[in-house]
Amino acid sequence: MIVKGLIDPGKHFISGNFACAEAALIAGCRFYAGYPITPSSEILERLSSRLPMVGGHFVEMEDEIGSMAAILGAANAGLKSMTATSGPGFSLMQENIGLGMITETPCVVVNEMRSGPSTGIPTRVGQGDIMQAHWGTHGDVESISYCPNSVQEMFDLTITAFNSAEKYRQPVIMLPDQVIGHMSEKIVVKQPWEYEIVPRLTISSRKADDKLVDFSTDFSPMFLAGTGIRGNFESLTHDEMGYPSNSSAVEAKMMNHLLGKIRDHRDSIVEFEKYETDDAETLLVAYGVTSRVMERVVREGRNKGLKIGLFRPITIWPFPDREIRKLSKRVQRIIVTEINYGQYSHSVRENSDAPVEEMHFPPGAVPDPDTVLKSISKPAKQEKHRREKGK
Amino acid sequence: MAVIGFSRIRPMMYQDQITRNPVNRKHFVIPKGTVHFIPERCKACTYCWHFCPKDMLEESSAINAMGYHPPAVKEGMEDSCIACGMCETVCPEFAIYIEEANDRERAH
Amino acid sequence: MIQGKGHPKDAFLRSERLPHIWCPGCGIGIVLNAYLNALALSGIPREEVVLISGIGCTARLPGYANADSYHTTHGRSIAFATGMKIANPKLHISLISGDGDLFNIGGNHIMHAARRNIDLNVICVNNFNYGMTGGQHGSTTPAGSVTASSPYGNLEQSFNLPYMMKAMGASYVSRWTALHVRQLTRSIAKSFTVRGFSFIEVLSVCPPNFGKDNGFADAYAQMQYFREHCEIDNNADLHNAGVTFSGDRPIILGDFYHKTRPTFHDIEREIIERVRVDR
Repeated sequence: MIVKGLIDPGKHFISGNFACAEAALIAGCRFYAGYPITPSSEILERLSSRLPMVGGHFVEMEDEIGSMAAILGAANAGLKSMTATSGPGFSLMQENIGLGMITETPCVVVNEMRSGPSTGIPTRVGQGDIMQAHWGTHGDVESISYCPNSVQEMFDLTITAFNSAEKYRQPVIMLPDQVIGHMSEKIVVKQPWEYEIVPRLTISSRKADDKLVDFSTDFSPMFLAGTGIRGNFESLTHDEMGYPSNSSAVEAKMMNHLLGKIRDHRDSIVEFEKYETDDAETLLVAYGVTSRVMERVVREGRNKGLKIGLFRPITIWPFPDREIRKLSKRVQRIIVTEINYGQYSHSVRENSDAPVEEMHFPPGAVPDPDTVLKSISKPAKQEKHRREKGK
Repeated sequence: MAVIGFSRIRPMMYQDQITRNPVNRKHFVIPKGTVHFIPERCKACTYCWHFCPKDMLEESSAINAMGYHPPAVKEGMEDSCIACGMCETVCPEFAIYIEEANDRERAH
Repeated sequence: MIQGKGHPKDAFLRSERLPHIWCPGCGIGIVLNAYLNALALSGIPREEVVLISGIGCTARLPGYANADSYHTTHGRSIAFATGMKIANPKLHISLISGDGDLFNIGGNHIMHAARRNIDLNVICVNNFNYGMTGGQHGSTTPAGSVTASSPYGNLEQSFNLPYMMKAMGASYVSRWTALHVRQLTRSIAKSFTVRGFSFIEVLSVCPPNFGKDNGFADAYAQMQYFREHCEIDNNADLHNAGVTFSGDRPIILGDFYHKTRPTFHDIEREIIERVRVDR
């Protein structure tokens, strides 16, 4: 289906935020609710102008809590919906991300990572929301989070995120960092029909005794408001009729369905990239803008004769555990490099047979490849977490 | 049978007219009704027997599964219901309703 | 005694879920009854009706109505409904929730929804405290009242909801009690026809919590207070329409305000028609 008003196919020089907004429109997003926050405001601004052009709806809400609730409401009225924010706003959204999870409402949340805690450095890069993207909301959830490292990937992964949201029926998180959002690069937009767009599966009719959700299948269609289904959309633990329950058995059944639909299809969700890993003795793990720096480190290290490789998770969650495990059996050490004080390294260590070192970069700046290369060339430190005292 | 809850608005507006235009009064009749109970839903909030304008309901000695005493019609007042629907509208439990009788007793 | 076969409202209820969770004498069941009556009177096809609520006792109401119902997070029901109504303006969305949900935790959202004039029918069942958690005081608890968390009397001033909602830009404002069921039914039916944000406050009782702590022996005693102390004044000065149980001042009820202005959806549609290029 060709829709007029979308970005023209061909080459564009465009910022990550604008690419995200345009990709959302191609993916079928027709509702955006958001609250301005650096560095994601350009997505809000772009969509405020672009959504009405394709018949979509835009609303600037009173806060991020309201934004997240509004996109869930719109998704339940039948529209593909999205919001974008950054660290502090992402913290506010956690409550309703949980609502989206338990009610299986598809939507996309773009969280552009900056520094923290609290307000931090709003205009500079950080990667501090890695754990929050999985464990931010209370209770157990399986997160799907994509972390692009270029504007082209920001564009492509936004479409993938919408498709995953529809397929797995849950909020899907985009985790670009500030640099990717604000950086302008060349992107290539394909013809509209070359993109695979997953449509929404809905219940068309329902008898009074029919189940509302089928916990025995992973992909059950959703009911939309105003279609005569008379369903009960429930934030409490509920059974297959949609009615609340206090029973631990019902809770187990529901959670088994919610977690299982992601765990059982992990292989078709997980994406990653390997660079020079075949004979690597030192494996770097990096994502987002850090992975661009580490690519150069690997290139220059190889020129100096270092056997060094890079593993870049594209889906931060689900964690590419099997891939890390496999690589860890071949390499002598793994170094997790990230712009925070140690988040992803926890999951890597949990799934690695090789020793895992952490290389932290203070949020606020993109790491310098030369410094990284220098410290990698040195032998591994014995003490990993030593704090430099008295300086 | 007219279902009371859904036709409540009309008689009420008529009631206003009765007070203002007594001349019209002969066109109106006092309806008759029958009270029906669904005792297993009752939580004995007491509203139906307190707010019945004919004072024809009372707490019964029966006990339902939840341990409450549901209401009953007072002895000798079986024919007193004027189908005003007060008990039905004020019942929080959907445990009482009125059926309006077709043969209305003509007002004097 | 005549055993009823089925209540006439059963077709409008998820009757297999009755009896409901509310305490004996709780006014929420009465509001549900009034709402269903108003729905039947209005003639709106039930397929287009959506009930949304947040968290709390009143928020369980949509779960008993046989229509599309959405039980969302605490205080966020208004924002959820805003998204849903903007996405599909054809839906008739009723938002039935408690005072704590709508005005304490959700206060920010409700005032912005009224300001935007989102076409929602909001029914706020005000029981003057947080009933579900055991009767703590909130923003609607009258000053001086004793609650589980104000043992020496509530030291805060309470919200005057109709006054507040009128000031926030609501298109329709009224207030009734759980005892004024017929007026309430008419108001709800009217709110279905109002284009724009309509707000109905229903003063209700909370027998085991607020009622018990403030001198009302049972549910009936508080209802009796409403019967004796309520005054209907449609032209009341809302500034002075705060609720008190001191007995020296009447509780003012009425259809206070009705003035329509363009809704968010009207203006948005105009903009979309002007700028859209996809056809």
